This record gives sequence, structure tokens and C-alpha cells, in this order.
Amino acid sequence: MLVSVTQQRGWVRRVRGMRTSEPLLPPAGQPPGDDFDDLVSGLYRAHALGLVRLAKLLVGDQASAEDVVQDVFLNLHRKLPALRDRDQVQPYLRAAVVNRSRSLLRKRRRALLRRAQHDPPAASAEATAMLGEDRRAVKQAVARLPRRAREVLILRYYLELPDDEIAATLAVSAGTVRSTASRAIATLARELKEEQ
Amino acid sequence: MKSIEDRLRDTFRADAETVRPGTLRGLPERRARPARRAARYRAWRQAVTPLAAAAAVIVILLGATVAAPRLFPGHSTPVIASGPPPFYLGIRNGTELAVNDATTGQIVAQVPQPRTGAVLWIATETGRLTFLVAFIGQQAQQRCTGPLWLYRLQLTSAGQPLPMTLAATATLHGMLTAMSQDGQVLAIVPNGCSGNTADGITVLNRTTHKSQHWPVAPGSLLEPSLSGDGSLVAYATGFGIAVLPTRVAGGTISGRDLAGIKAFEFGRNTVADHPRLAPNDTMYFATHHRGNGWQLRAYNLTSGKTRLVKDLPGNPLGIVSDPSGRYLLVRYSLSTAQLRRGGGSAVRLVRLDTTTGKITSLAAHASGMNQFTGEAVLAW
Repeated sequence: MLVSVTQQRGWVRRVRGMRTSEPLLPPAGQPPGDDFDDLVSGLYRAHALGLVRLAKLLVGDQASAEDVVQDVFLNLHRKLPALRDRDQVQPYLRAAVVNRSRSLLRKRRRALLRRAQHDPPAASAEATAMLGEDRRAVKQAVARLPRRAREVLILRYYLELPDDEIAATLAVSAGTVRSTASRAIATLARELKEEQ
Repeated sequence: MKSIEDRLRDTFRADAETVRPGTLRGLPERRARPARRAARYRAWRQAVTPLAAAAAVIVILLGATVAAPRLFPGHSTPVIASGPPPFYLGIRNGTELAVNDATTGQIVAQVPQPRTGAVLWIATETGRLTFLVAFIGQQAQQRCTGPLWLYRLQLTSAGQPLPMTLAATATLHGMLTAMSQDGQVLAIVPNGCSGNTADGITVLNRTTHKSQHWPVAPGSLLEPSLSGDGSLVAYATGFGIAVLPTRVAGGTISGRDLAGIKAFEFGRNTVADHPRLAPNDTMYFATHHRGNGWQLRAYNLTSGKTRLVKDLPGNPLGIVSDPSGRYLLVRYSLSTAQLRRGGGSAVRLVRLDTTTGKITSLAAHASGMNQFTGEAVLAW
């Protein structure tokens, strides 16, 4: 997917077929210009839907999820020069979405502490109807889990990432990922059994 | 029936697919900035920032060296502790008492023991540098039935302890679990030395020799706390937190008695512990709800309102308040998962600013801050 994105005009076109260890971007000192914007736009077209869906699972509503992903892509302009090869882009975007989502949840909690009227957005009626009763119960049980457990479950069972990639995304060890997932599954099993 | 994993996949997929491709906003236009100017600015910043930082440090050091003696001529010896409170921590360590600089963790002074015996409890007396230290006999049976000596400990402005002076003596008929700032009011658990079967709390006024006793369900008493002036006692039980005036007659605590102070909503599986009465008409306490970790809450005794102060980073082991009520010392333990990730000590001591919610690690160790057996000195 990334190869098709890099098939853009200008210098980006020249990177087609490069090895993954080669720099993704122009050499240092060469200013990023329109091509640079094209590259980010291409990445956005290719990855935005998946990342918004991931962010939606993390923050709970689509509008906030889109804000999260847009922020990530606006920051990508600054971060791209540090990314040395193509394989780093998708993990970077994934980790950035997780981190931005955490920031957003923290801001919501601070707003609640200040007693401001910033209730977290509720799911739309359509979305709720689509979920069904069992899925609603699972979703509510997941929402009650600690933040890291939620993130691990979403990365593992939505994105189907292996444990080492989850660990890299969350900046924790693979053992932590396994133990967190194991505890979260046990908690969910207990809670969902109680509700039935 | 589907497994939990399959139900999770199904739920996540269904939830994610409510985001449809056609509904997404486009990427907003990035604010344009001349690239060459940006590159020049980056290079300038990389070169100048370290030089500016070094120059600022040199100016501050020179200013502090030259101007401080002129501005503060009264201090012939430098004040050791500085920065935000607490400045000192007196740590009970076995039978010893050490005064630590709270910022650096260094031991400022070892307090000479005025008599053989164990330090049982320490309270901040009036002022920043005066404490009241309770001593009991060293024998195990003397912890609950024996003499109690109250010594006054004063530190100089440089953190050096003056010789302790005897302030008062009393006889214990139970385990001392809390003390007012002036040592006049003592909270005692009559059979607190016999394990976890404490079945009541007695509050004794040493001046009037009057005492009140409140029975509680055996084994349910946790963490008694007295207000600085001794007028209120708070303790946790299995079914809530009681805050009572010490002047009222004793009697059995019932759910009805607790109703008046139960402004905080305890849901199912919520535990409340570590009540601490602070001088600002506030009681701080920790709550734990299944799956949500520990949270520190503040209950305003005047308004009856409760607010969330901070999510605690671990399992609280001890909480003490400063004389102003704004700062708390919180000792907590880390979970196995947290330790595996971050390493370091399993028990941490932090200062929590209850106004801003800011948590700062303190360098001093915290082994003396222990339920029923003594707490860290608060030096402010």
C-alpha cells in the first residue's frame, strides 16, 4: 500500500523500488516542498480510514477520532525527516494515534475535573443500533478496563498485531503485553459471565 | 458459544465499521511557511540555544553567589532545605530517628535518643520546625500497656536538631494510633496489639482526662486519624468512613451515624481507606473501585462536598497531611507490572499538591511511614 502512495510526482516518484533501508525523504538540507505535501496527502488517503477506525475504538466517537488522526498527519510534516525508511511510517502513525488518543482522554478527564460541561460524546443511535446487545455488553465491559488493557485488546483483536508490534506501539515489553492481555481477558470473561 | 476473543474481534470490527469512508473529512491545509527560512531558523536555534542556556546558568549562579548574602544577611549558615514543602522528613527507623532533607534525601541529622525506647508516633507541632515525638518502652508488651513519653524536638533553620526536651508523660492502655499536633489528644485502639481484632477506638484528652470510646465491628477498623487540634476523629471501617467530633459521648457507630458524612457515593466493590483530617477543614481519603485503580478524594467537612483530587499511581500505604492541608505525603507501592516496566523501588514516597494535582517524587526513603506503627515526620 505504501508503494502506491510513494508513486507520486517529483522526487517521490524516484523512490519507487527503493530498499527499505534507504531514506524515505530527500537528503538533509534539501527543503521539503510540494512533493512533501503530496507524500503526506497520499499517506492520508491511504491510511486515514484505518487510523480513524482505530482512534474511534480508543476514544469512543468519530468526530474526536478524526481530530486525532488529522493532528497526527499535521505533525507528520515535522516528523517525516526522522523516519529513515518506509517500514517505519505505519508503526509511527499507529503509535502516534494511540498517543494522541491518550492525550485526548486525559484532556476530557481534566475538563470533567474542572466541572466544565464537556461530557464525552455519546455514540449515535445508528451506531448503537448496529452494535447489537452482545456487542454493547462487550463494548461496555472493555470501556471499564484500565487504559492500557483497552489499548492492548484493540491492537491485538482489531488490528491483529503480534505482541512485539503491540509492545513497540505502546512502548512496553512484550511480556507486559501478554500479561496485560491475559488479565484483561480474564476480567472480561468474569464480567460478561456475571452479566449473562 | 463464541469465545471472548471472537466476541472482541466481532465487537471491535462492528464498532470500527461505523466509520464509513465517505464520511471522513479531508486533511486540512498546512499553514505555509517558507522552507528556506524554516531551515535557517532551525540551524540558528540549534547553534544559539545551548549557548543561551549556558549563559543563563552562569548568570543565575553568579547572581546567587553575589547577591544572596546581601539580601539575606541574617543567615550566617545556609538553610539546607529549600524549594516547595516538605523541607524535612523525620524517618522512624527501628528505634532511631533520622531527619532527612526531603529534596535530596540526605540525612541532615541523627536525632539523639533522650531515653531507651522506641519512637512510636510523631506529630508536627506548631511551626515548621517543631515536632512532638512519642516514645514507648522497647519491650513488646510495653507497646500497649506501659508508659508513654512525649518529647519536643526542635530543629534549627539549618536543619540541625536541638536536644529533645520532655513535654509530657502518660500511661498507655492500648496502641497509640494518632496524636493531635499538641499531643493533648490521643487516639488509642485498646486491643490494637493483638493483631487485626481491633474492636473500637478510644480518644483520650490528657488535660481533662476524659475519654470516649466507639466500638466497631471486630477487625474492621482501619487507619484512625485525628485533626490537628484533636477535635475530630476519622477512621475507616468495612462500610464507610466515619468522621466524628471527639467531644461527643461514645456509642456504637451505625450506618445511620455514617449517613451524615457519606457525601461520597460508594458503589458496589468500592473500598475507602486512609482517611486523613487536614487543618483546612478537609478530609482526604483514598478509594478503589474494581478495575479503576486508587483515587485520592477530598471531602470538605463544611460544605459536605467531595472532589476527586488525583488518580494515585499505585496502591496507597500511607497518607499524611502538612499543617496547611495543601500538601500530602503519599507512600504507595507499585504493581508487579509497573515494576517490570519501570524498575526501581517497589515503594515510593511522593509529595502531592492537592490544589494542582501535581505529584513530585521525594528522594527520602519511606520505610517509617507505616500504619499503626508510626509515620514520617512532616517538616515544613
